[in-house]
Parts: sequence; C-alpha cells; structure tokens
Amino acid sequence: MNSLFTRICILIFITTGCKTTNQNSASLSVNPVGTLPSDLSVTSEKIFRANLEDQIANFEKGGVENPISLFCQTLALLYLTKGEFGGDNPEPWLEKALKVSETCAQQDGALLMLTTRIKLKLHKPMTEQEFEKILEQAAGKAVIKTDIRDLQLEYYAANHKEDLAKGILESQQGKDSRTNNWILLGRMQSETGEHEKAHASFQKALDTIIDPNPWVVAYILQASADTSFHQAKKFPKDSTQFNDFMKVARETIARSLKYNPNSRHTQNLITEINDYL
Amino acid sequence: MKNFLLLGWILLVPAMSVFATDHLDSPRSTLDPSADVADLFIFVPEQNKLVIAMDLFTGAGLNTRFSDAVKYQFRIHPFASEKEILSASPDKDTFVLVECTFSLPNEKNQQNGSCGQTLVTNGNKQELTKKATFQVGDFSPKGQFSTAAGLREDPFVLNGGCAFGFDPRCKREPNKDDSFEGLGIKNALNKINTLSIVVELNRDQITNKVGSNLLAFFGEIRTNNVAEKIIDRMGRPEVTNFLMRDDSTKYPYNQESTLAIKQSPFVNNYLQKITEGIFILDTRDQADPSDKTQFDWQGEDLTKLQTLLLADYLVIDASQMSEFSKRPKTGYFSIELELINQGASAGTKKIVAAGGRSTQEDEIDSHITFLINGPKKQVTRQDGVPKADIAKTFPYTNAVKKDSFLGAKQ
Repeated sequence: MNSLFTRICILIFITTGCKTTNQNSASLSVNPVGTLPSDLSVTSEKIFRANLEDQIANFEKGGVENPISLFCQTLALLYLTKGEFGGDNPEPWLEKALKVSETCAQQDGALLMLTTRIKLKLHKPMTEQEFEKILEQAAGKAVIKTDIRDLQLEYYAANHKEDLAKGILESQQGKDSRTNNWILLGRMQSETGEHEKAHASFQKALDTIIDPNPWVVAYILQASADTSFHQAKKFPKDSTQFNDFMKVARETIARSLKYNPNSRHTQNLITEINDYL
Repeated sequence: MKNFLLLGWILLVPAMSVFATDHLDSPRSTLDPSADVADLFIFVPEQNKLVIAMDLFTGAGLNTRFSDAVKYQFRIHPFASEKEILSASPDKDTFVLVECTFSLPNEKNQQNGSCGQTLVTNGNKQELTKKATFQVGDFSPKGQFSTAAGLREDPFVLNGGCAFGFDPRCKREPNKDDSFEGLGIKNALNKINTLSIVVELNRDQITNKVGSNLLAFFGEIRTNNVAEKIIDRMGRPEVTNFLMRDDSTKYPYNQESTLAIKQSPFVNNYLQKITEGIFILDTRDQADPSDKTQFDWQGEDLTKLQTLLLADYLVIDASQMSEFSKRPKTGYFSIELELINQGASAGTKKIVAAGGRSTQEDEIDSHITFLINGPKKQVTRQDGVPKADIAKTFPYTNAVKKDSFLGAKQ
C-alpha cells in the first residue's frame, strides 16, 4: 500500500473509520504467531535495521560457500528476519531464506527447524505427519526443548489448531513467562472466542515488559485492538455494542501507532477493518 | 558393535553447529548481533597494565553500531587462593565492574561510547576512575590507560573442519602430534570483522582493591534498565559452540547468571552437554573412540574439568606478565591444568602459569591440545591455520583490511 495513502487513511481512521479499496496489503500474514525480534532485540530500531543490512551484505559474500554451516544458517536467518521486519514486501526475502536454508551443506536439527519456520511463514503445505517427523528429527536428544516447543506452537497457530497451542502455553505458565508466550496465548484465545481472557493475556504480556521497547508494545496493542474488532463483529454494525467495541479498537490502534507508526501489522488491521466497514 | 559406535561418532560430529568461541552461538546473534558476545580476552601486556577486551557482532560492517539499549559489562572477581579456583568459588560480593554504554548514532552515523570502572563491595559502589569517553572507531592511544571501541578484524582463527574431524582433507591420525599442519587450509573466519571494546586498566589498582592477583573474569550484556536482564554472556571460549553444540542448550545457558550457574534448574543438562563435548575431542587420538579405558580425561581429573568448564569465566594470575604469543605455554587454561596436575596437593603450592587469554593466542590450539591430550601430555596440537600477527600494543587487535568482506561497501 502506498505509504502516504496509508498515513492519511490512518489519520482519518482513528477518528472516523476509513474505507479503502486496496485489497493487497494483507495478502501474507508474515507473522502469524507473534514472533517478535523485540523479545530478543532491545536495540533501537535505527541501529537494528542498519546492523541487519550490514550483516546481510557481509554474509552474502561468503555465507553459503563458507565450509562452516553456521554461516549458511545465519544467512538464511538474516533473510527471514529481513522478510519479517524489513519492509512491505516480505515474500522475496522469505523465499531467499528458504532457498539458502535448503542448500546449506550440513542439514542439522537447528537448520531443519529454521527451514520449517520459513515454510510456515510462507504457508507452504505441511501435513501433521510430516511435521511430527520433522519435530522428532530436530529434537534429537535435546533435553531443553524450548526451541522445539516454539516451533510446535508456530505450526499449531499457522494451521488453526488453536486449542493445541493453548494447551501447550497454559501448561508452560509459571515456567516460561516470555512476552511472546503471553502474546501468542492471547491471540489463540482471541481466535477461539475467549476475548476477555485474550485481553487479560495481552495485559500480562505488557506487564512482562520492564523496558518498554516500542516495537513490542505496538505489537501487543495491535493484537489487543484486533481482539476488540473481533468482539465488535459479533454484533450488528449499527448496534451500541458494535460501536463500543470499535471505539476501544480504534483507541487501542491509536496507542499502538504512537509506539510504532510504521507497523505493518497495525496497517494491515486498519485495512481489514476498513474493508469490513 | 564397534562399527555402530564409530558410525554414531561420525554422524554426531557433522551435526554440530561448529563455529568459534561464542560467535553466533544463539538465535540472538542474528536478531541482535550487537548484543551478542563473540569473544573475550584478559591479559597483562606490560607491568601495571591489565587489558580486557570484548568482541561482538560476527560479520560487522562499516555501518554497524553498538546497541544503545544495553550495558556491556566486564566483571573481575578475586579468588582468595588457588583452592577456590578449583572449586569454582570466586568472591561473589567483591568485584570490579567495568561498564560501557553507547549513544544512538547522530545524523552522520557517529556514535559515542563511555566506560566506567567501579569497585562493588557487598552492593556498595565506589567509582575507581573518571569515566572514559570516546568516539566509536577512534582507536588512537589516549594516554597511559586507553579505552576504545569500534570495527576491528576478528583476531580469532579457525579451521573447524580439521579440529573436529569433518573436513575430508584432514586425515585422522591418532597419536600424531601435529596432525592438522601443512594442509593449506585457510582460516574460516578470514575477512570477518567484529565490533571490539578494548580497555586498559591499572593492574595494581585493580588487584589492590579486590585484594588478590588471582582473578575470575567474564563479560555480560545486560539490558540498560533497572531489570538488567542478561542477554548474552561469555567467559571461556568454546563452551557453547564446541562443547555444548546443541542450540536448545546454548540459548538458555547464555542467559544464566555466571556466578549462579550451579543453582540453575538446567545445570545437569549443561554438564551433560559439556561432558559429551569433552569426549568428542578426547577420543580423537584413540584408535578406537569407543574404548573408554583409553580416555585421557577420567575420574577426579574429569570431575575437575567439568567443574571448571561449567564455571564459565577466564582465570588469570595478574601478578605475572602474559606470554603474548600465538602458542603460549602459560596462556588459556594453563592455571587450571597446573592445578589439576597437582592432584591432591592442589592449592598448597604457588602456581607458575599466568593464565588469561590474549588476542595473540591461537586459542583453538590451546583448546584442542588439552582436550585431546588430556591433562598430562604437553605436546601442542595445532589446527593447521597460521595466526596472523596481532598488534602487541594498544588496541591489541588489527584494523580491518581493505579487501575484507566490506570491500564492496567501501
């Protein structure tokens, strides 16, 4: 979507709602489970983006050819990161990530998980049996299974197996209180109609953040706004309840945009709401 | 049975995420490489100087900058005596903290940094010197004790394929001393650059303040807020990438508090992984890798080695000058080996090794030597890659070469 149009639309939307005929911007849900760089990255966006560009440029010159497989793996992960957080056109970067990850010389468990993650982001078809086999291979003898669990969650979320994802997340409460887990639980609860629980989970996610990184806060608020929108949709468009929930959604979007005015997720949500209206 | 075990060993080795020291050792390294420690050094280059250095961001370029949202911390804790080195019990309550932070770059992409030195005693802080401030990239000496940070050539060299046996050019030749030499294999880290922080400390001031010449040294990256959450840390080279190998283990390990590792709920998992890593190298000089009777690391010695490696910090005797060369006999892990070899009398004699780790040292050579040979054999093993000459004066690392990775961007 044209960025100037987006900004104008956002401004109008926050106060009145805005109808757009553009249908393309939300074509790829790049980040279906709420994986954030910001759960790991605390660095300012300006430095983060410049560093990412530098590292990609350097690894492109030797990443695939280098005999050490981690170079190749790193290049694939860099492309994935670029695809997820680098701009409006993620598909080519995700495709590049997949190509590199599939050509790395040493296909170990970590690389297998990375390739699977990229495929999930690209919505490549994968049966449950295929996925289970991947998990078994990737897990190997690992005792600490955080990465495996994250991949499982990603698969369940991408394949609308929300109850399975919720089961894992709820079983981890008290053991693994990462921000991402609360965000994902909230999203799964929202998907299955447990909207109030979802809002509570998003609040928990916000509570885990001691140093408010704008990216994270914007993302959580966007997810919360999305939940309010889902709540509104349960009612007729001209009803009081619909308007009340939409008011909350708009206010939350406005808060989210204050933290990250360029959030693609928030812009996609605005487009979705506008299309609905 | 023997064939089955050998096959298992062959399969296991290529499956490792082999890299160097702490380079790229967790998912964090690509998501926020400016907060990913690649290497750590401490050495005494001349009387009264104690140099500490940290490398970050594998594959840094001209536009790469330090994170503005973290504290780059170096911690120096004293040991009361040699016995505490073996039991991995440095003084937790008294230490020197060197902490560096960086600004957001200006419109010309210039970034400023500052490093402060503080003595911490039971939570009370006393500033030891005025904060050193500098512009990132300015490595000119700034007086008797200099501080600088910026893009440098990575001083680490590696031929991982030979060291770990999966490069077909490296024949496995049991019991041959220099089995990897003369193969013409190049440094896998050639032309890769890092962000470096180098600080020259007043050695006598530090050792007087903490009351000991025997020091434990590690680095931590923490969020720059009240929570001070650990993002990454490093003490000894190779604990994560070479010994643990498994990403699922490395990632949580990197976020543990160094001096509280024994209290971690995952401590047994870490020990298990470290032990597996020890055996992979230990068996390299055996005709039959499955023959446990031939293991060089056994019994008490193995237990001590596990304890020391889990205690993830470098050990140095700051009263001694570092042997500033590629293959020092008294460099990395030399104090620990001396203590292990003293057996039951350990801690009763004064050690002669200097320990620490200099930017000159070819650490892989030291590492594979003591892990393959065991504690007793003195023959130095080499990974086959010649180490470049590293600057022996401040800033103790080399400038980036023009034909490095960055060439196209210059």
